[in-house]
Amino acid sequence: MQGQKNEYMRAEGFLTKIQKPARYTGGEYGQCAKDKSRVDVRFAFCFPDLYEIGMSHLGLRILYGLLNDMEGVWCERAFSVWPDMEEQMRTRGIKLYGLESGDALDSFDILGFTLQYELCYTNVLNMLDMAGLPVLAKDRTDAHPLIIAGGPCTCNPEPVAEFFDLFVVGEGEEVTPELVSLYRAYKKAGKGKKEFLRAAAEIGGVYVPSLYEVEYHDDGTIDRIVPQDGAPAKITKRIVKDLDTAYFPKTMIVPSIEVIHDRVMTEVFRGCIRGCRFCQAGHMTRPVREKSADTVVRQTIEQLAFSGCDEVSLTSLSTSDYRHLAEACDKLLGYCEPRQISLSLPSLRADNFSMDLMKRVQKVRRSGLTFAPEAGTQRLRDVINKNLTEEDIQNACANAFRGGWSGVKLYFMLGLPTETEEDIRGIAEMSDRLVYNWRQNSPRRDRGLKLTVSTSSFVPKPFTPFQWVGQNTRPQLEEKIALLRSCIKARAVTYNWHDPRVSCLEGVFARGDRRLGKAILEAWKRGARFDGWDELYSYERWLEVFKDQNIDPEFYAVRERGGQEALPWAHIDCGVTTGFLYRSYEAAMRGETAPECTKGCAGCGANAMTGGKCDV
Amino acid sequence: MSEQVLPRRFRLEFAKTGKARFISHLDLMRTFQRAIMRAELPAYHTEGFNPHVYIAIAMPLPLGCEGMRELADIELSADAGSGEEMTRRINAVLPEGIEVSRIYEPQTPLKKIGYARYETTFYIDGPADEALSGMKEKLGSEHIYILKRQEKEGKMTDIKPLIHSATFIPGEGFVRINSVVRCSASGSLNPLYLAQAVKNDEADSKEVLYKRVGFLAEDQSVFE
Repeated sequence: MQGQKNEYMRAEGFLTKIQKPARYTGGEYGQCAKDKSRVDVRFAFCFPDLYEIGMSHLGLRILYGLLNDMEGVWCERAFSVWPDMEEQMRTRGIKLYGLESGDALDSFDILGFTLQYELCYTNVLNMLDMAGLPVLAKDRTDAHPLIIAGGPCTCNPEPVAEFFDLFVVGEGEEVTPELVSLYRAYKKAGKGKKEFLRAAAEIGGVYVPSLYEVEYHDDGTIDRIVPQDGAPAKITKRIVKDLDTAYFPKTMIVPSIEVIHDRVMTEVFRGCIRGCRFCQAGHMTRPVREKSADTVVRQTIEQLAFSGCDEVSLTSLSTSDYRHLAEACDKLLGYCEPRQISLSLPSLRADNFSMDLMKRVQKVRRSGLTFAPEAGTQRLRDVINKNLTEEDIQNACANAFRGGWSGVKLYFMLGLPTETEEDIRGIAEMSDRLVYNWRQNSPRRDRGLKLTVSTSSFVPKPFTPFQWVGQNTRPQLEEKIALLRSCIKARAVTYNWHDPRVSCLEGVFARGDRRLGKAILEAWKRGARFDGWDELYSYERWLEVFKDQNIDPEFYAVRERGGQEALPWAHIDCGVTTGFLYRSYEAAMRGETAPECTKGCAGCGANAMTGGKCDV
Repeated sequence: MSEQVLPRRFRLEFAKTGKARFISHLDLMRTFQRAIMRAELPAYHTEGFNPHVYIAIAMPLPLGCEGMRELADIELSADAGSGEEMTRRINAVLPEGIEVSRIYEPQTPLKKIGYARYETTFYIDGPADEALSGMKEKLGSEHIYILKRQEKEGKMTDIKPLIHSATFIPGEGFVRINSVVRCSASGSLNPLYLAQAVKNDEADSKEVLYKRVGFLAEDQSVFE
């Protein structure tokens, strides 16, 4: 096949005609190039969004390194292409390709997608189609690659169940090599996909949707989810028990172009002690497991030395809760300061945030401060169990202002359960008190305060105490945004709000079932792509599709569920028990808070995965 | 010793080819800054709000244009070995398509660059001689007006004064123009505009490859 051009070579000629061509070339420092003839499993990590978004994804970095460390396995990358590139490729019959080799994805063994959020589903279909593959699993044969997915949405992947061969629920470090090894063995033995999938279903954390039938009541709710062919009744997510010994890459691919979060990232712990009731990530990633300070320091320095990056962030759901934070930062600053590398700590809480630490950490480059009160009154904060008092926030900001900070960002949600007008006004009132706080405490009044208030719309999610709650409708959310706008009058305050029409669509898919698959298919056929992007999102198109498919979106998003209803994710176990979630929901409705794990175990059930003990 | 070591200036001569043609000028800076950190060259960092590795790249290359002898200056605050050693170290950590040919202490400041040599290759259908004579004619006229991308309709720019010389080479399925054009702080000609001036409409959809061969000083000698 000498001299035959592969997909990338055919695409190269027109790359200057489109925006940001380097998205589509590969060739970055740190990428892995293997000899095709010495590889028996070709894997493509498919991130269903643009290159600039996907390249900073920690999961990609981890799995890419892990798979490429396996002898005979080659993991490449593929990302969604922007419409200008899509047009060129489709016109010329060029298929979607892996960046490392430039080869068409339909010649690979496994395409592994990561489902980061619900609005990427149409991008998934588009990538499959552009790879030259049938988008529905039932239309694919043994000649086609295995199509799998991991990531947060696998806790309820039902809306996309018809498109995938299998899902991997939970953390990928152990289960991914297990799955690839099984695949390899079956491929070598010449066995077919169906047989392979039946065997894969026995691996912990693997969910094969074709092995489950869903039966519905007349009213549209689920009657039962029935495993076929002896498949396990429940799929239990996988976790890595010991993060100090778990795989973590020493190398990374360093993008040659600017990407979001263009830096080294080191996770410091998984799970969360707080139990904020709206938060899916906090519940779903339990039990809490920490890395030791030495592990964090070692992994970070390896990555910095390899990449030459000038910025690193320590990531987790709530970094100020990391018990070894001061120790890790101390040791890291010893490496970073002489090299002018800045260390950033996102996700800090206002109630245990240390000004001293912030000052040290921000000596190289100062950035703004961000806090997330989420609700404007203590009453509502108690309902959602965000155990932050106004005093905590005002004190943290007072310290920051005295220290010379003049930029603060506050995040809130609109549409939380039991919310009233008073709660919304509370957001504006808190901001006003913050402006006053700044005037009292800032030594540099001439610089002016820049306070940004940002609201998103609450979306009830599976595996949270609010999974039974109804989402506000679009008109309700718009009314609330308008109310808040009218209340915020201070010049120093900028108010940004997320488009509620995006949240309303998220609300449909977050707790959706399999019957939504046909809507996703139809929307994609009608041109839906990059639904998470303002410039390409069309809410009207989705509403039309739902209408044409006889789907009532409010059935999924707005309807309140009864405690006995079988939810579409009933066959998936993420650690936290339904009993705990329901008790937490009842406490929320009574306006009662619950303390964080370190102050006393509330019995969420996730500790069963670590043999009884959480790292708190 | 408490003496302050003054940073010494070094010049990197490098090629930017293949996949690296699609890295923009700003991204090229960032790419070099990280490679310099990876190679552990003791580069001087800028001061102020957002310190970063100091690097001054001579002249931007248009996106998609290859560069064979591009230049960039850095400052090192400590001895990092010979030019050959530093070249080896940095080449080991660069992305595909960027290769440093040598690192040396420069004698002339970058702002003294006067001209650049380009090779522009037009892939064409039909006989090369015909296409070539058409191009020669266009470039031979007293004024050559083109519409720049950012300008409004009607505001044409005369690029003739920026063209120092051009030679035409016909080939099998292509025509190549080797040109010497102004490339300096006081005015530069983007090779894409030269191509725009000579292309006829059909040629528009066929590939054009751009390559900057090197820089010249005001007196036309090779700029180092």
